[in-house]
Amino acid sequence: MKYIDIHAHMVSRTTDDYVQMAMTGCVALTEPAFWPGWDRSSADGFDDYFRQITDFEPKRAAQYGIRHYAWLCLNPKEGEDRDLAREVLRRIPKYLDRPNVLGIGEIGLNRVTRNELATFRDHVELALEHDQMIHVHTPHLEDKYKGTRVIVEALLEYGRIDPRRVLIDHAEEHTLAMILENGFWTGLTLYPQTKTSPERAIDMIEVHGPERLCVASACDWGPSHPDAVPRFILQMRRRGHSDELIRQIVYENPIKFLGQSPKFNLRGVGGATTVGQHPPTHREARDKTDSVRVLESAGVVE
Amino acid sequence: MFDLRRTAGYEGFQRVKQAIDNLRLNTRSSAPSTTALSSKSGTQLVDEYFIENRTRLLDVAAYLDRLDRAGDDQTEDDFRMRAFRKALLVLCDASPGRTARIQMVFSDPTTEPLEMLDQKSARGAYNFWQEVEG
Repeated sequence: MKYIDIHAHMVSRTTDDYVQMAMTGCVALTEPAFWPGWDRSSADGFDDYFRQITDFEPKRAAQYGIRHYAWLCLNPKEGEDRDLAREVLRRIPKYLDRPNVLGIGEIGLNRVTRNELATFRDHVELALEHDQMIHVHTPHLEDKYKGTRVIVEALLEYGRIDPRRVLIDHAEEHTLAMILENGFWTGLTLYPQTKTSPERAIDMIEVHGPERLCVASACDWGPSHPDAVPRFILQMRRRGHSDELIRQIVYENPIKFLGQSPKFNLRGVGGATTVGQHPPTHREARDKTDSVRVLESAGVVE
Repeated sequence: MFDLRRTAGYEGFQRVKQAIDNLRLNTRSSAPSTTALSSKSGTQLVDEYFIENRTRLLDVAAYLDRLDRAGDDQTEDDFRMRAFRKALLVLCDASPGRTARIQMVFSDPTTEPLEMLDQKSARGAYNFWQEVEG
């Protein structure tokens, strides 16, 4: 089954991981800017990073028929340093026109400090100023509930924000409802330890429904699986859910959310390619649902 | 030895309980139907998933036994293990929404931002007892 991983930090992954993702059905992924496990020493480090995820990684992914998109920001783990944040934010606009950049993200909070919140608001205002979609990280573990509440309340203060263009990620059982009830999209992160397992993600979908919801691997330099989405598909089938429902969650929902960006399209994706080339796919003519046909007619997919 | 009965005397018990009760109320008022997308009967869920969840339960028991064998009394007062034992009580009660309520046992229920960064990473449980004990 084809799928889109809406959250994958491929700068931390090997080429073998791209191969594994391609072989298990991944046709596209998005890579939010994040914390590499250590703090950068200057804004110049972010310039290099932004070039990596807007130039090098799309080419690397394309070799395996995977379309690569990116979100840009200074991540919440480094948001405490206000001077660094101001300098990085000043540099972000020059990358926003890159063909694979979908918006600002993953912004958010880490320990929920006043400086982190100020940096978060600066990013939101940057996104509004440049009419960008927003991808939001919510904190880990004991900080998730507090951080998600503060993020939702902060976003609701902006009258100009369309919640349908904002995805608040890493939701769990105690935060999912507050995100969905306020009109935002959300993501469930399939991790082996922290965040949620495929089994619990399915439970949440059974309780809250599949609307405005995506699942992702969020694979990075820590314990994580680049094939987390196909593992989720396997568990969905084991639980007895239909391929139609599974396809909605792993393919159609990401297209609905990401397709709000005019840059997002899957035309020509699929199959092995050479660097930088996207030959047309010759697969997947079967079992198309109505929503995909609508997206096809709009030119988002073929 | 860990003793679940000790959890009743925790200084932070009321704050934990309040956070859980609040979540229970929120869940009752907002959660959609829990049956709309379920595709397995109770019997099917037991048949399919009992063994793997039995395994998970034994892993938790073995972890507590391991802590016992370590013989370190300080772990009993560690806020993470206090929260862990509190979560076990929620696990054993009969009302639904256990996962969300256990999440709240481990969660910071406040909304006021910290004045400055105190540590880079989360530790897995909020220290409900820090203000009481200093």
